[in-house]
Amino acid sequence: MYQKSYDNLNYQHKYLDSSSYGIFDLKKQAFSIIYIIFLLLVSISIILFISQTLKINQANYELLELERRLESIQAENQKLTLNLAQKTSLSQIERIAKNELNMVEAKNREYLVYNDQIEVEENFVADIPQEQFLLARIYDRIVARIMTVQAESID
Amino acid sequence: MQDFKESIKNRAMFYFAVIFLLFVIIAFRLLWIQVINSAEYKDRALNQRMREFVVNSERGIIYDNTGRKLAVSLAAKTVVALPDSIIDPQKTAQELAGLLDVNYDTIYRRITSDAAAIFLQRKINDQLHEELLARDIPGIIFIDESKRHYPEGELASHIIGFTGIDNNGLSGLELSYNNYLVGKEGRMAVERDAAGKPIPAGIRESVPVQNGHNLHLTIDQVIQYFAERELKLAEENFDISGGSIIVMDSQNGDVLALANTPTYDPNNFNNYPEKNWRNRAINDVFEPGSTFKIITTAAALEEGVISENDILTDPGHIYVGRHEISCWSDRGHGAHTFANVVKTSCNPGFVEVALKMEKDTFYSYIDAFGFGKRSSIRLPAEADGLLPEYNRIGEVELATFSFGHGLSVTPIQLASAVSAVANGGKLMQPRLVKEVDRGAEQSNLINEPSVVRQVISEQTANKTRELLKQTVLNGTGTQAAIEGYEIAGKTGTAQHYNEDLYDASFVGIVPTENTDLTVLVILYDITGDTYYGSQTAAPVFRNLGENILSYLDVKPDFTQQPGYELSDEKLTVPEIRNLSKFEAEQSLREKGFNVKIQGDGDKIIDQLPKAGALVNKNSTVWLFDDKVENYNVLIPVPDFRGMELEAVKELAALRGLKISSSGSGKVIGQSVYPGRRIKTDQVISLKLQ
Repeated sequence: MYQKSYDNLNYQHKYLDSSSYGIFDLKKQAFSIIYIIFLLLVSISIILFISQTLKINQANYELLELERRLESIQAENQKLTLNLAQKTSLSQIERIAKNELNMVEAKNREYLVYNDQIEVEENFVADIPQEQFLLARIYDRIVARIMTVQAESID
Repeated sequence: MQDFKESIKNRAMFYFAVIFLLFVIIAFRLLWIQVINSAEYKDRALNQRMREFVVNSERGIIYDNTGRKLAVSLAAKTVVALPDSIIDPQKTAQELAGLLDVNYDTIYRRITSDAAAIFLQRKINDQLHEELLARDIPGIIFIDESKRHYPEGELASHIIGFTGIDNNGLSGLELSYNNYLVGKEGRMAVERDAAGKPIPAGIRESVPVQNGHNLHLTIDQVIQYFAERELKLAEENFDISGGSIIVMDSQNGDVLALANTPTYDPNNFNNYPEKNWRNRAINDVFEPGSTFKIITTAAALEEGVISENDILTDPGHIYVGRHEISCWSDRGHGAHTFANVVKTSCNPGFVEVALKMEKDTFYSYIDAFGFGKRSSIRLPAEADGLLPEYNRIGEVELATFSFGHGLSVTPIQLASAVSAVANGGKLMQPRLVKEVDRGAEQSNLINEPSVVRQVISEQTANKTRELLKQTVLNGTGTQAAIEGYEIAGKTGTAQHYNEDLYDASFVGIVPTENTDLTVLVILYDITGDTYYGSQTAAPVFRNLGENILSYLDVKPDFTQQPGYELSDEKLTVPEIRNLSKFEAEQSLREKGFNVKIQGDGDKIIDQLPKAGALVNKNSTVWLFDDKVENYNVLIPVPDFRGMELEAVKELAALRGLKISSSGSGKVIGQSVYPGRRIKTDQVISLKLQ
């Protein structure tokens, strides 16, 4: 009975028929793999999407916080600028100069004129016009020659 | 048994039907909410999440011409009560009454009202805000508002003005330029979460806020400070009710300083009496006194009725109709040139000059110099000045105008008029705001310097200025002289009617490298022994002038020569009668005379002085033609007493007067009282002994 039933079983389902078994299994496996990959891709996409959304959300919150801080810093900056303007007002400076530093106002003002246009006198060997004194001109030439060192000279 | 089973089945069916019906109802309701009426519910949900609020515009900044901020806006907290959220109104009111400037009853009444939210105190300071935050009172919140601050305190407070609690200008430029400064508020709608925080990627809708425009003034804060400091010192040194100083660039009409005392701090304007808020340099008028003689001089020189070398006589007074007008010097100045009349500020001399001009001429110059109408400086409540109606002006009024009495002007009018003398005769519109900065998107509004009109010629302006330099060099204005600088100016003292109160003033022209500054100093309601402008306002001017010149780094020049010197050359007046008008004028001008022709005819029928009179070079010779209407001019009679006959004859000829004498020696009596004005054909009898 058992034999018969096994025979029937084997006969009906053709488990040992290698060609029939291989095609069916491969298709199923491929489908399963594709299905799993698809699921994985979808899952990853969803995870990525959620993660990015969360990141954007977080970044936006940070941005809002930074904007709030910027506003606060700007307000503080304005207050400090105002404070600086008040502290450096001329009336404050005069008050501190007079009351705290014991400074007094200058009564008389003296002007010293610096003249940078003074002509510097040049020294000539003989300050005599050329048209005069021929001897003096000859003397000047001699002196000039003696005083001049030539490039080719051994000295 | 069968019935029992049927009954259960029926009951089950019934409950099933009921549940089904409920399900259908719920489904229908869901359909109603989600599909049919979705828009309405979507809108409701959105409204729950959306918060709409007003974004206040930031009021524009006011800068001086060096870029220093004179008025700025900062955020300030306002205390707001939410009555529905307050747990214990009595305790809250008690706690707040100790901190805010509002009493318990008012706070209690407000926080128990039906309003959703109510202001308790607006724009509180940071310290109070910190304290209230620390207490964390339920139902009390804070909102941001904008508050005006004036970092320089009292400096230029009368120019800048102040704003009210609603940020609208109430005074000064804050009021007159409010439309530019205030901007337009915006609106913002933000999607918020359950905690009330903005949803980052939520809906944001906004009507953009338009901040106010910035103003750039012509005021120089350093010069302004000098001016205010000098006024404070004047308050300490003299018994005055207040004072005003204006420093104006004569070339373009820029107001570099406009100061008044008493002053106030616009940050706390409520703590000062209202009279301190008053900008007296713009809103009030005063009798200019002798400073107005600058206008008389310029007009007379322009019209050619007088030259600086003409001889005028001052016996100490002059009669106009039945009225006697005295000189400040009881003994008078005797016979002297017009240059000396200006230098000594001689009233009878100016009266004679003004009467020579006639009413319509003099009045037209007063009008052309800008008196009697607003200067358009664009500050609130500018006064017009007080000029009597043209039809009501008689000889006496004309005479008193000549030395600055009987009319009232505003300080800004006087400063502008003197600037016209300083810049070559152009009346400039005073300019306080140089530019309105409208941001990057719009072009700036530039207020270019504007010439109102050419009032006098450049030559007349220069001559007037030279005469005013003599006033400072060795006349009534010596106290205003600054060594090394050619200062031109004029003192003024005007007594209040029937009171021992005086307004003292000095207006001067200070030369700098690029331009000339007009500086006007007025001290109001002076009492006590020291009240003359030369004693009070002139020293204030000198101190201020020295500081300004030092600040602008204008070097003194000790080598300068006076630009004007009186010529000693004498000329004999030639016979001009019966010549044609053209010939007569040409002949006289070639010989070195100033000529004034009366009438529209062609032939000269008379002249004044007569031929043969010995006069100074450049003296004026009056010519009357055959169509002259006002032939006989009235000449004030000099005081001949104590003079030798020869000197009397010379003076009489020079003035065009006829005399007859009896006796010999010096004059001891004259038939016409000195100062009376007579016709040229009337003979004055002199008694000599």
